[in-house]
Amino acid sequence: MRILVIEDYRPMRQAVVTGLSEAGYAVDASADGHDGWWHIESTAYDLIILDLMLPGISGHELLRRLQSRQSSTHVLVLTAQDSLDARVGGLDLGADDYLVKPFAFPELLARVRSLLRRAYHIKDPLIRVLDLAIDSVRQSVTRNGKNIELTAREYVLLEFLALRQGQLVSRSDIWEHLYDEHADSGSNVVDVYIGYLRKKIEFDDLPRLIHTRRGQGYMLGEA
Amino acid sequence: MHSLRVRLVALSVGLTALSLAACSGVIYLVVQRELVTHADDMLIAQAITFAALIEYHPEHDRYEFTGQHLLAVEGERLRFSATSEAGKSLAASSARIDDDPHFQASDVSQLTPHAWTWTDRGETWRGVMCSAPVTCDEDDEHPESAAANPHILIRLARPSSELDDRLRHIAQLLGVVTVGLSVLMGVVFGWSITRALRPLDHLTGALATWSGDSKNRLPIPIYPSELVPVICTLNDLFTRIDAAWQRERSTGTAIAHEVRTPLAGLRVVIEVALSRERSADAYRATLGDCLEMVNHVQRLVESLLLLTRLEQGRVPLHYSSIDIDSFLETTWTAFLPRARDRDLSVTWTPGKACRIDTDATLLSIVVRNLFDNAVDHADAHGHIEVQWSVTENDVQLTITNTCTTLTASDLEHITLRFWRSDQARTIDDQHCGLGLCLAMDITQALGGLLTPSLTEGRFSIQMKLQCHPTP
Repeated sequence: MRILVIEDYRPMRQAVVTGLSEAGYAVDASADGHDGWWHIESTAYDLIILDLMLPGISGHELLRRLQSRQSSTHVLVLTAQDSLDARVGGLDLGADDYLVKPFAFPELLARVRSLLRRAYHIKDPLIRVLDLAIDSVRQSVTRNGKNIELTAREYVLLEFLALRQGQLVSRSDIWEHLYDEHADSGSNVVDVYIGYLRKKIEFDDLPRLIHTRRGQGYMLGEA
Repeated sequence: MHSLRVRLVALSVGLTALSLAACSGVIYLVVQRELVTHADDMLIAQAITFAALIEYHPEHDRYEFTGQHLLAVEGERLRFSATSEAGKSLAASSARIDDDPHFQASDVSQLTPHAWTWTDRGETWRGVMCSAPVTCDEDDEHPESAAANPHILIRLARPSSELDDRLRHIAQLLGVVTVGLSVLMGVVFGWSITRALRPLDHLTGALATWSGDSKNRLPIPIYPSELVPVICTLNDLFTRIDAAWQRERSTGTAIAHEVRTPLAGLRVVIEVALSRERSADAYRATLGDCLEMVNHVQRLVESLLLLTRLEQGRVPLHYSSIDIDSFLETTWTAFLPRARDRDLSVTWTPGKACRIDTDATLLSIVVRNLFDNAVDHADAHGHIEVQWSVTENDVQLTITNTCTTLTASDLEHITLRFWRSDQARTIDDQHCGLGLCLAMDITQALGGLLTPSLTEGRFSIQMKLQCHPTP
């Protein structure tokens, strides 16, 4: 899942980016509205975490621009303005959620997870793919009742495929959604991580879950 | 007696009752005088009548009273005595009549009729004393003797109880009328004062039920003209309260808003740092960030404290003599690198060298703030002009910078607390929207004035400091 954090307050921005990255998300960050808009235009993000009072282009203006281009990207607004008018104004401009500063980081993570599920039209935090169960709240995975230990990056890749179960997902799609701008685009890191996942979630006595379509990408679920 | 209504009614009724009582008293006195005079006149007339019943026989030098039967008819209710000029009793009732204690014997023929009162055995008597010529037994043959009719002294008295009763009755009537009219006037005054004070009741009610919504205004047309100034003053007060509340609310909100961002930063930074084991360098970096944010909050709190103390006049001023030229140059040195980074050109137009007595610390806060704003808000690659001049009574410092982002409407707000042209709150941003109002308050405390202006994309701020510069 690729997230863009647009926040001008440097320590906050850095901490949110660190926290989300450690949770396994690919995170890009912008310190002002101009840079944020440049990122929005150049990359398809699953979620944008947006501060409203930004230098350059304001958060409200960014919301307006997103609305005018009918973007499906979900937006979580982070702001110090807690008045009803400000919240209503932000939500009316197309924000999907609103978090008033100061907030607890676990709450931000929970809202991020919720918005990402909503982006893929999934309500239940427990995602099932055949006998594979992914608990998006606890970030735990079980198959056939057996607990599977995954790294954060592996988990996010599995969750991304699970949210698109039954659909063919290209390498570039995975790259775009799971790796931030600082990752090495020339590497075969997607294939490597798919290999790691296969080793952990596939067993000889159980049906295969990750299917490779040569030259096209990967699909999670029944072949 | 705190009720205005009760006070007005009591005052009106009291004055009315007093006036009525005074009128009644005057009426009583006039009536009493008239009645007594009338009664005295009647007595005098009767006395003269009795005198006419005494005949004088000059040939025998004898007096004859022919009205004994009249005295008998009157009985005890009439006392009468007639004496000759020589003091000889000519006629008298059976009951004795006292003399007027104030009577001075004089020529009886010249005696002016007068009356007096005395009490005898518990009964009050009114008597008159007068002189009258007696009838002579005229001798037709000697008519010249008629001229020598002798005068006699007549005393006549009657009990005054009838007159007293009548006067008492009149007094009672006047008393009843006075009390009745006072009560009636009390009712009338009470009603009319209550009615007249109804707008005050309405006003009291409106203020008592005032919900605290200072947007409510009292409707002027329903109040009488005497209350209109009060209503206008109250409405004006409401407007000022409203403005003060708005200011208070917006200041509170702005403070909360200003504190929220660093607080949120602190919380997230600490929570993320504690979410897993990290290296010593990572913890060091986190603590560095926390310190920066704490410094940010500290600057804000210190500015607010200084503002509050300035408002309360609790900032002590420590005067010292400073060289204005070197003071400005030294202060500017700190901003030079930032001005260079932003490619700002700077022009200095110094005034004549002088020293002024002022609080250097406070003045430094003002000047640093003005330089800081100029460097931060001047257009990139723009220009800053620092100009100062000295007169006999003041020093004027004008800092002008090119600023195309500021509008004329912004100029109205720049001195408001927490107002800033850019709403973003970055950690590197030293501004929290308090600098200019702090500078204004400090300048005022130093006996000066700070005036911002905007002309054709050039923002100027002039500080006029009243002092006596010395060379």
